Amino acid sequence: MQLFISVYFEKDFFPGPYPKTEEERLKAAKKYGMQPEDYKPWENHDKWGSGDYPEIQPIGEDLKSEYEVWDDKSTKTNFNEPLPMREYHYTDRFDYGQDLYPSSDKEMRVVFFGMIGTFVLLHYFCNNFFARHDEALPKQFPFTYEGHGTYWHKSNIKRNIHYTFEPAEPAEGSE
Amino acid sequence: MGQANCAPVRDLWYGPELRPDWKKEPTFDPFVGFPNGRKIRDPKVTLEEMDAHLLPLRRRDYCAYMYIKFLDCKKDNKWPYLPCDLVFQDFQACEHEDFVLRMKEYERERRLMVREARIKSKMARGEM
Repeated sequence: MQLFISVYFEKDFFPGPYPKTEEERLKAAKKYGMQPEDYKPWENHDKWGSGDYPEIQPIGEDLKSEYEVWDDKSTKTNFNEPLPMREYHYTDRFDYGQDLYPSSDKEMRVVFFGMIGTFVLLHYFCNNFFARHDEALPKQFPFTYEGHGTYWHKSNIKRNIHYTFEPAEPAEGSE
Repeated sequence: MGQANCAPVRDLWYGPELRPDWKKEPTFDPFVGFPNGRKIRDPKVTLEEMDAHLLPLRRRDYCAYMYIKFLDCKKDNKWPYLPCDLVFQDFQACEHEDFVLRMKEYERERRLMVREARIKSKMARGEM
């Protein structure tokens, strides 16, 4: 088997040759610490040069059971556990293999209408039960028109008196 | 924007005894706390002038004289009435002063209500 690699790799850590007989399969399974019925080498071993390395899918820590007794509790792994062949930047993710975004029709509808529904509820509660207002009293008009828009007469116009915050000027005729 | 959004929270927290109703006219005597009196607001235009320019109801306030100046400027110019932009800014300044006066009235009302509550608690305790 010929291998062309650009970085240094220990010769003892290479996988062995592809097992052809039953005896070689049992030896390879014992080497990797797997049961013979679980052990399965890759199908494209001749293209990849993987030899007798087993087919192991990466799985995220979140999907491993919490009720099993692991050797290492914090990473949920056992001693000499067979690891996937290649670790990319995403395979050691905590939730690898888990779809967290909506994937089915029902999930899509729940997310969509849930988002819109929360905004609708917030709008209803915040605008129908509370009134936002500037901290100011009503606008001051010098004239009021009673019956404006339907029935009104010149005598329905009233003159209102409003005051500013400045001191009053002295009236004419005073000292 | 923050003041308008927090106002209902403060209305609920302090209650109607300490916060004035923003929809009602002032309830206290307008001359309380003014030893030298208060000047009367002058609209500076008569009803006949406002009717002649056919002003809508919302423009018939104490800044109508500025709005009429703006309408006269528009009458003398053609679209897009560029020299009237500054005249409209003067009208906006008058409206701003009017709004500031409304805010001052609200604050005065609020302080008088707080003072009333303070005096009542003092009377109840027997200190006055």
